[in-house]
Amino acid sequence: MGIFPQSIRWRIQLWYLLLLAVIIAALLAAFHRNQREIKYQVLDRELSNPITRLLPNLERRPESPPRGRRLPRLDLLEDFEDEPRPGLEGGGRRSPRGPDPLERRRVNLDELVEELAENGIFVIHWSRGGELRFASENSPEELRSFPDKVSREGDRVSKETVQGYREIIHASPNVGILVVGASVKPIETYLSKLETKLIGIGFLIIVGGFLVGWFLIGRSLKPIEVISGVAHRIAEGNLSERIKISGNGSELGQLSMVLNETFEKLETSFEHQVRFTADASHEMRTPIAVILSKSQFALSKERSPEKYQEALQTCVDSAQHMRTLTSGLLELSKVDSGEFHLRPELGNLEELTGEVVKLIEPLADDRGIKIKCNLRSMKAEFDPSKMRQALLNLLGNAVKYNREGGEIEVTLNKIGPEIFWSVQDTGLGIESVALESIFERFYQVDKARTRTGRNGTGLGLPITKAIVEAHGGTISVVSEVGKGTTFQVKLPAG
Amino acid sequence: MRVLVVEDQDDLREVVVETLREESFAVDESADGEEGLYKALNWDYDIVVLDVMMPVMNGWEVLDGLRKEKQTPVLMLTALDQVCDKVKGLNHGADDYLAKPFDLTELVARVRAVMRRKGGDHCPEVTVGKVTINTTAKTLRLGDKEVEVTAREFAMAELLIKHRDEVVTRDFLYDHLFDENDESMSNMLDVYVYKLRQKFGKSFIKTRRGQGYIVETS
Repeated sequence: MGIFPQSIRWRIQLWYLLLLAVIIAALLAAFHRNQREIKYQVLDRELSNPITRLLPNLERRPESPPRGRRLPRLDLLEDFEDEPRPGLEGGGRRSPRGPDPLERRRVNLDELVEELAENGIFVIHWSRGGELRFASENSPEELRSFPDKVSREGDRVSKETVQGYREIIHASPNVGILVVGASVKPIETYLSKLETKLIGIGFLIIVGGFLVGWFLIGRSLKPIEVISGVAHRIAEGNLSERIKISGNGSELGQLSMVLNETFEKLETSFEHQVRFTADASHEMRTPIAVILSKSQFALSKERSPEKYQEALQTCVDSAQHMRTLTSGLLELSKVDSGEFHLRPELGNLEELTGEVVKLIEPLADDRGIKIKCNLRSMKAEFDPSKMRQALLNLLGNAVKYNREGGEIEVTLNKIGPEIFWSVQDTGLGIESVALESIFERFYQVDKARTRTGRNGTGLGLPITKAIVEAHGGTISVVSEVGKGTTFQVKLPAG
Repeated sequence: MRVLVVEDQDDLREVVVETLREESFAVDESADGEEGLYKALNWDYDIVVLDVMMPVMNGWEVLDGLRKEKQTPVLMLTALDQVCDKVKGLNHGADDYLAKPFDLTELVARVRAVMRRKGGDHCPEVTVGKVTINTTAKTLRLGDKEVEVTAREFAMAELLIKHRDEVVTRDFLYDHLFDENDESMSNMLDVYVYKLRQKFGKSFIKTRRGQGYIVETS
């Protein structure tokens, strides 16, 4: 198994990791953002509270001016102008003047500012005109300049973060502009610590996810490794190997089942092939052995003309047997490779049967066998030369394996939609065990039974079967030991 | 020397039998395994040439049946030439193995080699007294001079020399020199003995009265 990037395991792993990383990053970023918002909200609340407390101390109290009359703003400004700036002067010192309401307000204000300063909150106050009224001691220098962009019209509260400080700006016609602020440094420190933590957690989750994923993907891919191992061993020639199936329901279980079936078929066809080759070579060797030894025998010393003649005759017979064998093998190889083509033409099966019977009659007469015909005129489409060969095989067998003086009955009839053709003999019959294999190549039932069966190739019936099946028909055999054998051919009519 | 050929293919059996007969063997034949086993168990053959693929009873079964009772040398003759077939044959107790198609000369040579091994002679040439026999060239010499003999005379000399220094009974000679088709009278043995004595001297074959014949080394 290659490692990277061809391996399915690695590809799945990488995609999975990428997805995991995106999800984790998004979740952690959202969490971080949320934390940030919460922190700022809390801070904003902390900053807003002092405003409500500060405002009453800063508001200018008009002596109930008549309705519609505008408030003389200058007075208020004047009031403050004389005072030392509370934030800058240490604020909150009582003035030598008597405790008038304005003085009380200032005392309150100083206390308040001091209290706020303890909590890290600073206060800066400008008049509407932009003059700095006071600023708490802890207020940063850079923020004491008047915030130009703040609107001076009407009551307005705004929040902003400037140069590391969060401030709430309250602008109103009465008070001017009040800024309450605090440094955001603690929050930012907290957030940056949180960020480090989150990155660590995210990294751990991804590493964990990688390991779990590696394990799970490995586990789910395990059957594939098993399958490929088995396939390898089969490719090396160990055809009896099978995949052990666990869990038929899974996709891989089903794949294994299909593969096992394929292997089964492969093995069977391979065995057939091996047996066929062995049988074919065996069948070819015997006539070669005869020709070789007979001619060597004849040539080993001077012999009579009769001996030479006999030797030559044996050689001719063997050569002819080989010819039959090779043409049979050639025909069957065409069947195997799908090149067994028919040339059908319209003809009468009765005429064909009659012809074949006439051909075989001299052979039958030699053994005193009578052929009885029971034929009906039957027009059909068929390949005449192939069909003649098939029928010749069947009748030839009926003569060869019949007893001396026996009978053969040939029937041609139509039963329902089928043409029915049968060749019945009165021979020794075939045992049921042998019947199962009778259409197999090179299978010869009779070897022992009749010495005349010597010329059988064991290919006649397989070829006959192939011809009948090529015509869309079927062939079957019924036999009773001691009574005879009947071959039945059924062909579709029309 | 008497040989049994078990082979179902008629032409092949015929030619093997004829060849072996021309090599002065007494040859019996069987066309199937069952008959072959029966003959092999009931006669003492010097070698059985056995085909494997046969009807009724195949070569392996014949070999197994034979080995249960006898140690007759067996040469397997078959169209199967895979190594595993050869190994199977030899493991079943066959003495040699020849795949079809074979050369007749090789067959004869192997038959002789197997018989020699069984007889304890590894060299085809054996000398007894003044008489030297070469089983491969099929010659008999008296001193340095080659003496012409008939096939039967040679076979008898071969048999007696193979069993030299042993008394060989007339029945044994009869069993190993004539095949099942010979209708020779028993006095044929006396004729061959007489002719061999004529050609190699009276002392070559000695008669043990009531027992048989003997060829002595000294």
